Amino acid sequence: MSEAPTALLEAVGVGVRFGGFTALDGVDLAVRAGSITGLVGPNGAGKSTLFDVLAGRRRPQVGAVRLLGRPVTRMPAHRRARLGLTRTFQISRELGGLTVLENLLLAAPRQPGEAIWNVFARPGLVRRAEEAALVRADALLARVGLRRLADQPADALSGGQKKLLELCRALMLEPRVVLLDEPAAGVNPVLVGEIADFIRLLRDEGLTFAIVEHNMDLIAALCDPIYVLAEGRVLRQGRFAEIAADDAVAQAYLGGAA
Amino acid sequence: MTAYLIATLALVAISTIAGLALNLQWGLGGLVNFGLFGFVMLGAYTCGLLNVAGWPPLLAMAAAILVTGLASATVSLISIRLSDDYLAIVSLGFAESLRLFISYEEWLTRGTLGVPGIMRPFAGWVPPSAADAVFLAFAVVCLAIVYTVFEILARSPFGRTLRATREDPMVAEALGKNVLWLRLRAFGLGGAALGIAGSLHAFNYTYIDPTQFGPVITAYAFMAVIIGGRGSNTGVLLAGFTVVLLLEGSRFLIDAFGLLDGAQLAALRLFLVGVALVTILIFKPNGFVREYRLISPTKERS
Repeated sequence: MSEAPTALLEAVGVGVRFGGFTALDGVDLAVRAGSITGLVGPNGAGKSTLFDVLAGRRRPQVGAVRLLGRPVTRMPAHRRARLGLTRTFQISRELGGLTVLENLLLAAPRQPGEAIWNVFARPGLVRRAEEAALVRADALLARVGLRRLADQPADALSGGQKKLLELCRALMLEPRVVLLDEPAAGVNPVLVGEIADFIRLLRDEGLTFAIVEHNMDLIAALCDPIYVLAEGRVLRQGRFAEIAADDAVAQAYLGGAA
Repeated sequence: MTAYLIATLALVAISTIAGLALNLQWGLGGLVNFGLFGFVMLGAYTCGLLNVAGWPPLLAMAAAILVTGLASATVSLISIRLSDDYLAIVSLGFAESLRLFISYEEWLTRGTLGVPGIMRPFAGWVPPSAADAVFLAFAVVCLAIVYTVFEILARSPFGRTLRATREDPMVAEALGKNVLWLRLRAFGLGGAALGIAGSLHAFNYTYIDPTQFGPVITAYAFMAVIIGGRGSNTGVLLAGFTVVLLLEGSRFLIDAFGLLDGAQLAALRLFLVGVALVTILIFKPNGFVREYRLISPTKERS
């Protein structure tokens, strides 16, 4: 495919088996720079497993993953994150015991104060990194309207606010690619619209996304291209109109023999 | 009475240091250390044995801190990759194995006979009458150092990241944190503090034997962290005093019950301590003090 050189994140022939069950079977996927790549499919199609493989949470038995053109198949999640790949989770995983602001500061990259030595030997360096992160966190919170909740523990937020918090936390990392696992799940329709606008805005600012989502309105509004997964394989890929008109896709969703 | 008070306060200092260590490991890091008493024992024996072999007390103590810290890190490395429950089991297993090792490997540890004649720091410089007071001062200084270091860490990005791995290691990973390395350092550093507690224990009694170290030391440390408020060093400090106050204070309370014999009184005393602790938790379910949370410095908005 001609798009290969600009793919920031790629899965090539990825296969994952859980005992006798094949979760992913030779999946090829390319997340091009500047795209919002959608990933849809019925429950059990392998979407979350594919996300786990891309993010480094699960190692595939066969196939490879490339990030920014580098092979990362065996690289653990935290090192991929440092290269600029992060994710959110299907069920929001806010760090409930930390405040909203602390959730964001945590994600700031290259904080020297995570080394015990620096905390005592170079407090000035740690403080400057912390102040820089505070400025960025404050701006992000203002942008999504969470600023007045900055000092609240994250588990006090509503479902939709937690989704926004997760997104902001991911952004603090200064990522190149963000994997969003059902960013609209359990969120009221108004906020879904806001989240969609925010994602589009971020894409326009140069960020790249891959999204797993069941909300077809959101997928239709944001994603190009869209991959349809069924039973561990890529069934179709293309623009929303093409996918929506496809009989095989409709059958997979309706539970027929695809 | 003064001598009793000094001895009691020294015990407070020692058990509070153990509480602070557990607060770093479990309170902030979520790493369950049921084998805490084993690390205290390792610290006490390393310090005691080196000391009777001729090492100066402070040097023996430094070695004990190093050995216990490294042992902690190693034990955690074995199990941390699995999950919290396994670390609890492995640490307990380590502690029990160590107790058996020390009880039977007489060539090294003198077995159940114990190690007598441990010298306290500064023992040569002070008159015997002031020895206990000087030791108490030394223990309090150690407590102050451990408290200060751990409190600075708890408020640092290191502490924040540690709390994040306690809440959800997968999120921390997705944000670029090396969870294994972070936990290893937290467990090792907590172990180093347990080495301090163990050394002070050895200095305090000047004699150690395996029966002095049992799971009850672990239990007291958990009490201090739970009563104090998980994650709060200041809470542990308050709770350390409270727990020992209840344990020791109830001895005097018991004098009022003339009707019961000694064994009954002893049982009743522990029962009362339990009731008191449960009562505290009914009124303060999250302990005395909440863990440190950053408050945004840019407060001028609202």
